[in-house]
Amino acid sequence: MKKILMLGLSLMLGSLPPSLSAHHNFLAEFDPEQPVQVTGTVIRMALTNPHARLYVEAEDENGELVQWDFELASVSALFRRGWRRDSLEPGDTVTVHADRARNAPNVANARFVSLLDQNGEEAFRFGSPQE
Amino acid sequence: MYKLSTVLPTISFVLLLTSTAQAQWDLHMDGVPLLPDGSPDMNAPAPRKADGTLDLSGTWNWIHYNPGGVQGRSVGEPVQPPPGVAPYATFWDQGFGYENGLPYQDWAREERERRVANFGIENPDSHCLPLGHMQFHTHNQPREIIQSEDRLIILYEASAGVREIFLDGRSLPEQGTALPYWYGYSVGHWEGDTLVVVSNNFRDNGWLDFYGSPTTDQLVITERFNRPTYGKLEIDIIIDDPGAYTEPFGLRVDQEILAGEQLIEWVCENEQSVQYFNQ
Repeated sequence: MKKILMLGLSLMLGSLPPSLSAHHNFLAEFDPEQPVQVTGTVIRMALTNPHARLYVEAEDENGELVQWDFELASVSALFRRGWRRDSLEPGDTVTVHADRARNAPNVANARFVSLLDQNGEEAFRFGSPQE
Repeated sequence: MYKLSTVLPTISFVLLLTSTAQAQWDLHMDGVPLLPDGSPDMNAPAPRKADGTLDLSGTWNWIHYNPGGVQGRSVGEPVQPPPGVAPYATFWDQGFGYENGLPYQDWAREERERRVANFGIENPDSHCLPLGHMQFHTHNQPREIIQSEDRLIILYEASAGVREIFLDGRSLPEQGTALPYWYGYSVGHWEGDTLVVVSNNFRDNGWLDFYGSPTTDQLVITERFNRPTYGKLEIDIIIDDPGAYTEPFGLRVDQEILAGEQLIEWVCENEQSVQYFNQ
């Protein structure tokens, strides 16, 4: 039920990027010419300011498990757009479209987050996927 | 791509979610003028204190007239303000509405270019420090005005900023005599229904906008607050900094009320971004 409500909220609020925020210039940290798409398991969500952070474990190209650190907008910005404390929980499967950090591996700025249910169907989305 | 069987029931949920979302946000609508449909009447008369003084209190959201690019940057042709009104301020570039940009002194122009080239990593905002008046006024996070007889307090959700404006009749201290304030020292007085606020004694090396238009410790900011209706706040601003600009210039900020809303706590913590900034 929670996930269905969240899906509805995201539709109502439109395709607002989860990373839309000030605080620092996006280009100071991230490279829009290096997009990445990751599907993995939520480790935890840090509801912090100036940026919330989503930690996801996923397999790299060698099949090794690595931890991704995704930067999102501020918590207040996310909450005003429908995100809630239990929107994502440890163990959830998510797909994230993001732009890589310039100076760190496995760090990226999330443009789009999609939660998949146990059947692999999308149950929650936030932001706009990259083309 | 959504399955139709999923989309149709979801859309019906959307219609229900308006009230659900408001309930989750615990809106407090006491005293909010309402239209027959229950929505806030933004054109209702502005509220007043018991003594008839205009009341600027409320939670306010900056109106970003100009189209937003990446991270909300203003792009395209500037939206023109009404005749006689200064160009609209923007978060990223206060000169956006000026055909030739701001009247920088040479060093100030060069400094701004340096800050832009450096991706603005020295912006106080990037280090959880106070943003400065203009970035606060035009931030996409709301601010709350709390007005009493002798104080106007502005709480900025962004970076948990706090401004105290003295309305008790005290004089503005001479420039250079007060401590150098991040927020400046502010005093205000009423001219009819306009609150005129003058601020000085700012710290040096300030940022007028996200691109880094500089300000110095010679800065004086004059703000004229008007509330023509319940839902609208208009702030006419004069930036006078002979240390960085060849002449004073004006900017206009419009805000709309977020009826019944409150700020969300915003403490700058756990900052992990700085380590990744492109040095």
